[in-house]
Amino acid sequence: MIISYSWLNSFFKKPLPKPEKLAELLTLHSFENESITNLKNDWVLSLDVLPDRAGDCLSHLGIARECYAILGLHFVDPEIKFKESLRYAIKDYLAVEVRDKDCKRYMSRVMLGINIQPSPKWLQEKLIACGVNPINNVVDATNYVMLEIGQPLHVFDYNKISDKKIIVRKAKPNESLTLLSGNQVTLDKTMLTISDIEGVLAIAGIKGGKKAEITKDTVNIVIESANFTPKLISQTARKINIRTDASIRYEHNLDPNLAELAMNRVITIISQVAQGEVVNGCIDIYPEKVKPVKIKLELELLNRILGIIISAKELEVIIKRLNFRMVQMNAKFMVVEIPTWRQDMVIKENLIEEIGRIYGYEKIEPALPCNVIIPAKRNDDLYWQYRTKEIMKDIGWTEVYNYSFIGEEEKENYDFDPVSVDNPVSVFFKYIRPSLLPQLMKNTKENLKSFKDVRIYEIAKVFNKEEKKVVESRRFSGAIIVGDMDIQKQFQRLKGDIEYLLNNSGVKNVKFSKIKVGHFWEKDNAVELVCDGLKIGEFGQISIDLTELEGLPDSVMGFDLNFDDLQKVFSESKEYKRIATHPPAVRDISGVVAEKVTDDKMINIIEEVEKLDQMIDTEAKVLDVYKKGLAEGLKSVTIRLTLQHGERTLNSEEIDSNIKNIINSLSEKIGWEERK
Amino acid sequence: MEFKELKSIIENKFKAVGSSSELKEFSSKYLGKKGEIRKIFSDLGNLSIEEKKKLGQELNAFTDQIEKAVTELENEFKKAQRATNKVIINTELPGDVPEAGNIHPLTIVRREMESIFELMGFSVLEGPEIEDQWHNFDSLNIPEGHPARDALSLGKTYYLENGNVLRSQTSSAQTRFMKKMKPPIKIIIPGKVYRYEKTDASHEINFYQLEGLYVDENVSVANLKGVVQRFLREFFKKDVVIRLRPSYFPFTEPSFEVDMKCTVCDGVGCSTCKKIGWVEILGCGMVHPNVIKNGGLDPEIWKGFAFGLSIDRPTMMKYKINDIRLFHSGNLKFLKQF
Repeated sequence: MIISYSWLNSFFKKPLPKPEKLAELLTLHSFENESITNLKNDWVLSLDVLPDRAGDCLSHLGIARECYAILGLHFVDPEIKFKESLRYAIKDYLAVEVRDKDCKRYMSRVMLGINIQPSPKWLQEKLIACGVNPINNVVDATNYVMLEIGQPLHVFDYNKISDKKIIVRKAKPNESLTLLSGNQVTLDKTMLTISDIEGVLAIAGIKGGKKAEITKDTVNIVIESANFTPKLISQTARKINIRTDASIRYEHNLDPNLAELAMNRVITIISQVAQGEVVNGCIDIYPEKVKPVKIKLELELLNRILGIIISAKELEVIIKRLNFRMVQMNAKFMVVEIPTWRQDMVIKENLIEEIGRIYGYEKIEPALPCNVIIPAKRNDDLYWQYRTKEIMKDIGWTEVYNYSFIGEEEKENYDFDPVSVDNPVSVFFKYIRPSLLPQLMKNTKENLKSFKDVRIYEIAKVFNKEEKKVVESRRFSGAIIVGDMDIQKQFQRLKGDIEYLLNNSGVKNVKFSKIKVGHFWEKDNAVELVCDGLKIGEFGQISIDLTELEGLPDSVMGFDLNFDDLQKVFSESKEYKRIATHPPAVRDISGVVAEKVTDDKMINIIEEVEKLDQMIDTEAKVLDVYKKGLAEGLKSVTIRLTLQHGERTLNSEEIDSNIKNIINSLSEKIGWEERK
Repeated sequence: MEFKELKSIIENKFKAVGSSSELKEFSSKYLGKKGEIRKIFSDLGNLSIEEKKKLGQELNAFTDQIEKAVTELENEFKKAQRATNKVIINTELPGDVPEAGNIHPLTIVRREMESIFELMGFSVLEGPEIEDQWHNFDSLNIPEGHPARDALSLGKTYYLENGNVLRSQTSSAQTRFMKKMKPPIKIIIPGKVYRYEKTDASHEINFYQLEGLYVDENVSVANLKGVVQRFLREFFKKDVVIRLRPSYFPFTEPSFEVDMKCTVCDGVGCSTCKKIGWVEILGCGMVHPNVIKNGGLDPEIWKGFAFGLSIDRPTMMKYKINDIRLFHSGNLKFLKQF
């Protein structure tokens, strides 16, 4: 709301503080001032009136009331002074029929013998200061009163209204109207109109039409001061995409009682600047009169919420300055009557806010809450996420953030079935992402322009359809390319980094198994990560088809893990294993087994044997595998066994018997044939 | 051989030793079990006990003396050897810096904020990013037809194909946790939020917020001021000055905007604070009774405060980042600076 400082000053007998000082006071107690502009004879403030106060403060009167509340300066109401005709009566000139309850009040007056001309200088200056272009004295008077009091007004050319009758009704389907600007608008039946028997004169509360426009030839006028349901006005304004100074005010809770003050005031101004005779009487259709409400507030609650104690005397002053009426006040509570222009005041918390801001929030001393000390509970989801990020950082990976949205291109290239957004901000953001990888590929491509090596990852929510429901889950994906490594080495680097993360996060029983075909992966060149029997995700070489589409080199590797599952296998538990002081015995065993027997299987069997003797710790590691010279389907394996006793050096009999047990178990379970 | 004769030979030979290998040769010839000195002991047999005793003492003293001298000389040779082998390091050459990765600046700042609140006893919780309309609007006292809902739902909120929305503020999780927890409730809810915006240097289509909620019987504006001020002091590591000014949010009453006296110019006015001297830092207020009710609690008993803090903006202030879009650029030139 643009406020003229000199206009504001005209509400007071004594001058207001200087513009900067006033702006600061308003910022602290009412509304933030965004700027002060110096005009020739004036300053204008730009106040950010809060939405709940738009009903009474999109006006100089409203802001003047705020000044009174803050400063207590003596306040002068706008002048009301006009003569009604002794010859002409309204019933002979105009009838109004309100057919819809979305019109809460409709006031109308007629003036005859108007002299249309430019407004006097004082009036033009005030409009210009507030950013409104002067048009003619009658239209300017309505705008002036709107800026002064906050009530939008409308004037029609009386002679252009058919049958001396105004009808307030909803539009007929596809009824249209030519606006003052010349544009044509098509209405629908939810929209409220001001019409005569022939057609629509104006869209209620939003904009007037060409038909009854005021021109330089106008002599008789109808003045409208009305009130409409806010929701209706906001919906209509959005549908036809027209927002006016009038509609902005009507969209909020404007006091229907304001219509009367505004009508009297505009007649006063028009009488001054455009002469004319005011037809006796005023049409006022106002079926449900809005009355002041009373709010009861317990003083204990007021003090408890604000955290200070305000004395009864101070409260009396604040209530008076707010133009509220103290109906009752005792040691326990007060009852306050709220004037109807404050439609935002409904509950006691509203009253607490009013008292607090006028009293001054700066007078409330900060105080930390006193309560039982309950320690904050650790959030495991975040703990593991941050820990993972630290580990990734240590081994050279950089965290990226990407938008939650993807477009048609990603959907097509990656063959996704993503959840769509009804109102996307652009075609590139039509869907919410089901995977983090496509954007990581884009990031990689961009970064390769400046970097030889790229190692990036993201941990974020992804959104997938599961049986008609949309499920969000945490994903952890990354992309890697190291400039001077071949594909084999890069894969090993990625695998090593993942192992490093798992080892440092207490994950045991890690298995990598080759996947034949995957969504993102190059055939044969990717593996599935399984920890403790739980499938966590996949990693490997990105499919060459995809890297081709993305304009990336073949060697880009990626990983794609479900972080929710990964977190399930993360563990903080650790147990100290005694440090062996006696030398270990190292033995290699070699044998022939079926090719399909995995390393894991063999190691598991050896670990089973180890469990038989608590004191002997056996470590097994596959050293070598070869198939040359063996029959189809067989392989030769060399396993290094490291045996160690917790308390002493093992003797050769013990070592031999252990090795024998292991070999026996291997041959029993997987048909191991020992080679000499 | 006479002892005296041998003694002078040994002494001369020792003097002639010039290298580590000659010293070894000398030691093995004269010292040790099979050395020349030992041999004299075996020749003592035909002497009297008195003479044996005397000569034995002399021999022992001489042996000790020679052995000591040998050890000393050996150390000297070793020292000389180390001196020859010594490598002179060029300390001017650059260090081999291991290449570590980086954590996103928003993660860094978010963690810092979380830990300050955790130290004040606020637990960190996360809500869903996809919300139903009830939690995103109705629960926050923004019913259908409310101007704020029209402004948010028609202009600023993303709707999904199933009728749900991407949360437009972290406040949407307030009532979820009120229903699950028993007061006193002291929580913060950080996370990603979504707004329909035209992007520019200070606007994004998704960004990060940190919601604070404190529900108890005795909660006041003074407490809100206390907690916010303490947080800002810890975060900016300065004795910050704050002010509250009136604001409006449907889910709080009274509502405030918190300004912080500009830390760059100390309130004088500079480009950071747009010459105002104050920087808008967060929106907050006392939880609206309707929200307490929507959280399944009795608003006559339970009061609370809530605040919503941007994570992006303080991060930009902290690192002097001039364009919010850099956060989602994936650009390593940017990310590698943190």
